[in-house]
Amino acid sequence: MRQIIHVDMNAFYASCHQVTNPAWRGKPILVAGDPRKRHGIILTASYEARRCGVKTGIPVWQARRLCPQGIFVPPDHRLYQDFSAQILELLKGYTPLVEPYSIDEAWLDVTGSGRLFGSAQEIGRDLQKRIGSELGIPCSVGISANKFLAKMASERNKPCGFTELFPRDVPEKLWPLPVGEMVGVGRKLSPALTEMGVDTIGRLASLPVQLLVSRFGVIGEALHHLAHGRDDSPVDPTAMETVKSVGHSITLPKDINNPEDVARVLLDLSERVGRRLRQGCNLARTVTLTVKDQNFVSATRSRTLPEPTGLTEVIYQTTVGVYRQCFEPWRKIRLLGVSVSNLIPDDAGYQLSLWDNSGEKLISLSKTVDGIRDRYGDSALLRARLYNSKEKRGKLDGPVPETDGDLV
Amino acid sequence: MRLSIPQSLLAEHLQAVAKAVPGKSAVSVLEGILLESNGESLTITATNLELGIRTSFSAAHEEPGKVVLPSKFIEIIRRLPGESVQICVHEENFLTEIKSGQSEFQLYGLSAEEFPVFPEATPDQIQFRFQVDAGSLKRALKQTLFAVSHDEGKPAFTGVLFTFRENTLFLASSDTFRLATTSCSIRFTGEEGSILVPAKNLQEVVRIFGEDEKMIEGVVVQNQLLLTCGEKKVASRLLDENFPNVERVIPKEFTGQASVDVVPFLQAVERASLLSEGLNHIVRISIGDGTMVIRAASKYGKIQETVAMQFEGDGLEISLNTRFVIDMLKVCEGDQCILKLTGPNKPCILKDSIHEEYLYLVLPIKA
Repeated sequence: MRQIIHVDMNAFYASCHQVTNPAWRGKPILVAGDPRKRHGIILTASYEARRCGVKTGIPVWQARRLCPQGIFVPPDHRLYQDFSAQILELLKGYTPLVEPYSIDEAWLDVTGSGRLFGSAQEIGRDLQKRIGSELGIPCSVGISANKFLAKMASERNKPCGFTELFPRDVPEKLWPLPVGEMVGVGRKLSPALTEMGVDTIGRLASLPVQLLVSRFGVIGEALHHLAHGRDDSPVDPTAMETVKSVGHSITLPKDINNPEDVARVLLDLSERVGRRLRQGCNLARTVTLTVKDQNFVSATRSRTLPEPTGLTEVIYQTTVGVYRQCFEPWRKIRLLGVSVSNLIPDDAGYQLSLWDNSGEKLISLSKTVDGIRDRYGDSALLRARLYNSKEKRGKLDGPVPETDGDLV
Repeated sequence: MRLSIPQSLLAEHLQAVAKAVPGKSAVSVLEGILLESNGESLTITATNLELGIRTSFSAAHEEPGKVVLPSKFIEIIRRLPGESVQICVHEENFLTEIKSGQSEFQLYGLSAEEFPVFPEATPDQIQFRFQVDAGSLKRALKQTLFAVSHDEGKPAFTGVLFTFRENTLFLASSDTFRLATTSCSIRFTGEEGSILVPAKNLQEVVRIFGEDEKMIEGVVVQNQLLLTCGEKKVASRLLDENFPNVERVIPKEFTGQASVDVVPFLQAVERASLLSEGLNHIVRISIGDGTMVIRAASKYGKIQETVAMQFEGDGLEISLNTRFVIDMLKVCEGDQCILKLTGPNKPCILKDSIHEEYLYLVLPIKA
């Protein structure tokens, strides 16, 4: 039997701020976007704030009403990444098999670490204590024989929980839980399951696998196994590195529908996406545009290119083309997102062309620009079209998830 | 219309026109096949407006007439059990009865009135007129057709450029990464000029005009190329695009020249292609004294091959797309392939030892 540990930081963003600013310890800290830029939702609330009823995702005005004494802090992603990297280093002291799942969660496979560090339980206690004492971040630990059960376990007791959930405990501990709390069942699957009369994980486990497959396809089969507590996916330290797509989106400071404004935002997003694509040494074959309009109706349209590209210009031209073709010009836009997928490694060299050398020139130009930005920072060079002193550029919502998020 | 013809003969002629029937068309009559009989011969026509194919053959008739039948007619005739087929069309409603052996079909035909007119060469509209033997034209097409682009975003490169000069037809095709040029002798007098013909229509020309050494009569009228070979006619719409200047990109000076046996070279590159995956199917070819070393690598492993050759000039290493090399070597008819080099990141020319007129230029991959 494998020994898997899942570590989940509690109220991670808020905890990071409380560590760096001792005056905030023990106080209700609410990490939230700027309401003036319409990012006004709670990203994380410390446990002190949660006691007042504040939950992740509620608007700032509502949080103020629930928790008038709360301290509202803008997000600082550098800080979180810094802490995350330190935690990862600490975890790697126990085993090289550490798979980060997001900025504040990771799995460890400690099957082979017993002789050095003791049982999974001992390692779990130890790392929980050390993350708390050395970094000041509280975390919950789940211990099991596979990734799925370990994560289900760490979710059970927060904050600072320590939970074991082994396959033998599945009927007693896992099955009574509502199906919506199951890892891998998200906002879309949950209502679909409820519609089928599935309320608990136990009910899901009792359904014949054929029924789930006919309703959900491959995911159906995966759900069946998970509901029985079976998961043989390995702890893969490179899972976060194998990027499947690169994307950025932005909620605009105000709704826009002027084609020139839209094009400028798309250029900005394409530039960021292109840069990250090239940083990962990849080329992309598919470009996807996401648009959310003033009525919160969102739509996603993709286009696959005849030849894969790493160029900002090609990504930009494609998104503008998709926008013109698929979205009515009168729709006022609230959010725009650009992402690229269908990635292939850019180690193949560049096929020279007889007549059209613009591609080659653009590639060498991109390389030069990237080089300058690597050395002097992203703001060292700016496209003139994106230069506008009066209008402050909107802040990004942050990267769109890079890997397929679901455990299944 | 009432006639009786051998099933195999009809099936063969229908197969010739089949590729010109559009799968789906806004104009329903185009989805059919036009049958016309004048009492002595039967003419079959299909067109998708880009490509038209017409074939006729003598068939004993009792009654002349015209009808458009659904394209299922091709498959129906192919599967008929008897040796001969009797076709009878009711002129008032175009109901068509097909009898063969024990089998009887009734097909709902359409009036031939709506069917587009097949392009004809009216003497005053003729731009170019030439004669070429079928074998030469097919050879020249095989040497060039594979090099066209399939990217609809580059329409000019989806065609083959025909340039008429006195008694010579020059063909050129390119996907911008490689260029194939060849020529064949034709009977042609008149002003020099060029047309651009869609490659997919030329594929049909290669298919339809059999291996025979018959003469092909060619005419360019307005935006159509009409080719007639015996009883078969092909009409292809021309591309209205500018093909870039070909002469300008062909190097005249070389840093080295190699000569290698086609078969071992082809086999070595094909083996290398098993491991040269990825976007550009890269193979690295090192050319030096007496040998050519071919290398490819992927996440699955590596391959190295050595092929003997004769070489004069400066040795070099060049990275090429294996598919580009294989395509050319497959149409090489001579025993030897001649490589002319101009530098590691510069064009490389491949030639077929027995076809001096054939030139294939490939651009390398820049690491």
